[in-house]
Amino acid sequence: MSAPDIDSSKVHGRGIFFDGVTTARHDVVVELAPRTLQVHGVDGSVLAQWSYDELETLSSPDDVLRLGRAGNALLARLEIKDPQLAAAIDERSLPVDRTGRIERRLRTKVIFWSAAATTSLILVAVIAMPLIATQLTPLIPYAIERRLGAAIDAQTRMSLNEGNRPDAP
Amino acid sequence: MNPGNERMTPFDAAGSAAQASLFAPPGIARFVGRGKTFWGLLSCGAVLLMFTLGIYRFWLTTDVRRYLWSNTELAGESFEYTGTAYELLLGFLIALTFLVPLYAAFFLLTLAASNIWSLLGLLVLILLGHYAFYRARRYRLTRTIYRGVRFHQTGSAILYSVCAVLWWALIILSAGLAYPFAQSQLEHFKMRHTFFGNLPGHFESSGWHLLVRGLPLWAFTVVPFAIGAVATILAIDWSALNSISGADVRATWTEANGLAGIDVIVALTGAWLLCSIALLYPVFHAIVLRWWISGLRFGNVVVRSHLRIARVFGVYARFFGYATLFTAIAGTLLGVGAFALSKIIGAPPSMRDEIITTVLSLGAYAAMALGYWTIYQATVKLGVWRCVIESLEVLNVAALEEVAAAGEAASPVGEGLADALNVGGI
Repeated sequence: MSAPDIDSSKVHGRGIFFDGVTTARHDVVVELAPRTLQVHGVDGSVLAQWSYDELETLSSPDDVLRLGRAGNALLARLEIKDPQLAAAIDERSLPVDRTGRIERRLRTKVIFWSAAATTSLILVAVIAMPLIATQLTPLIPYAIERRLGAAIDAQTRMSLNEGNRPDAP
Repeated sequence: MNPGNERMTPFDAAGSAAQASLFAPPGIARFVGRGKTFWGLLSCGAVLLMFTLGIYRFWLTTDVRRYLWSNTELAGESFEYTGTAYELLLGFLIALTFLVPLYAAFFLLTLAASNIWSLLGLLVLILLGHYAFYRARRYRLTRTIYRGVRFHQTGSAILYSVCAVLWWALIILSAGLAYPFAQSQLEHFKMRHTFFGNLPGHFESSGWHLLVRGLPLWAFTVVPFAIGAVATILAIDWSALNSISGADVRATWTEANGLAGIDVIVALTGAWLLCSIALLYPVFHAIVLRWWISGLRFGNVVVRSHLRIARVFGVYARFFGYATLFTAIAGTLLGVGAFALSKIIGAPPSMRDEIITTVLSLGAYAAMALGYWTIYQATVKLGVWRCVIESLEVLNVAALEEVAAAGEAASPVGEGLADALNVGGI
């Protein structure tokens, strides 16, 4: 096998590549060029060339770094098991976030505002609702109140099966 | 840094790895996740669910799916879940815009008109539930990636929901005997419209096979229940019952006719039904899972399951053990808490005391419910998933290496509907 022309000063390592067109597995060499991550096939051909800014970390087992290209219609995937190579990619690419720091920050924001909304709802339910009900009740017209009461009365009687009683009206 | 071997160029090494992968044993499925990670994920998630009034569930569901998918390997490659929490949240909000007016309309119709509207409303909700289930399946499949190619699903969700409702009506009318045929037909429908890339799926297990395997369970559970129900009906003196009038109907009827024995028949029948369901449900679950998995096909890829009933039984026993332990600990804590609260709050309690007691009771109830939910997910859901994956045998797995990509990502609305109607899958 003839080794292709690779700059030995650049960082490189092994990986597995799926091109997103078929399920064929490609054992590849990943080369970290200054601006792009290059994926070379066994024959030395360039299978993919992704800018570090477009990289996307995807869910994978703990010992694998799975990368894709953000916004790409093709689901091309690059899997790296070498921890040193994975760390080198993480260092070069801003979107690659193996520690989950960016995701955690976003999630903390969601949790904080959800908890704040919950507190607000509870306060409204406990304090404001009884006050609103007290103020609103005298304003409801008698006819509407009577109609609502009759409907609820009929439903309650039906649910208690009173209609089947021999003495039922 | 050069992680490559000194005596080998990276390309030589890649070539060797390619050769090695050709000789790797095919068809092996395994689950590589650690249970401890899943427990941690669920415990944190349960606490956050409580403090965010359930809003965190979109993130938790996504985390759970990512964990399960990415730790499941087939022929050395793991699956990938690409759905996001934001998609689930968006789907839920879109679903709410349809469901809130629908619920309001049902409420108004039941208030204003006759009982028929309640039944009609129930039927519409059941249809909508099956519709949502099918569309949610489509969402999950199109977010499932294996070797850079997605799964997808075609077919009409409306047709599926109509078929499902008709089959369930038949199941009820046949006292459960139609269940195997219903499952078989609905699985045929689902798998006929399921694809992995351009590889079409289909289903090969027959309803008769499931009926034969499940018949002893049916006989053990449904037949005694039916006998008990018939005995109860025969023991009732209907003419005496119809002639009774008065305020306390139940007491008068029992005393006047001397039919206290009916209570014994009803209690025995109920106890038999509960015990048989509790003991036999794991067996039923294992039988259905094994039957279902053994019927899955993608092109000429054949899936078989060697799932043993004892393993599924072990999973449920583990759940029972953890649930009992949790009940003992939580019960003790609740008892101590209630005692301390009764000492703090004076008699008669003020409005402020009542509010504090209500909020604490609701919190305790939610914590208990989430505790059982966490134990169930971490023992039964994960345990069954692991058992199923480890029991798989996949034949002609080489066909999975020649699949071309096809299908598009589906809308998350179905998943949102399923979530709002509480009919979603894992």
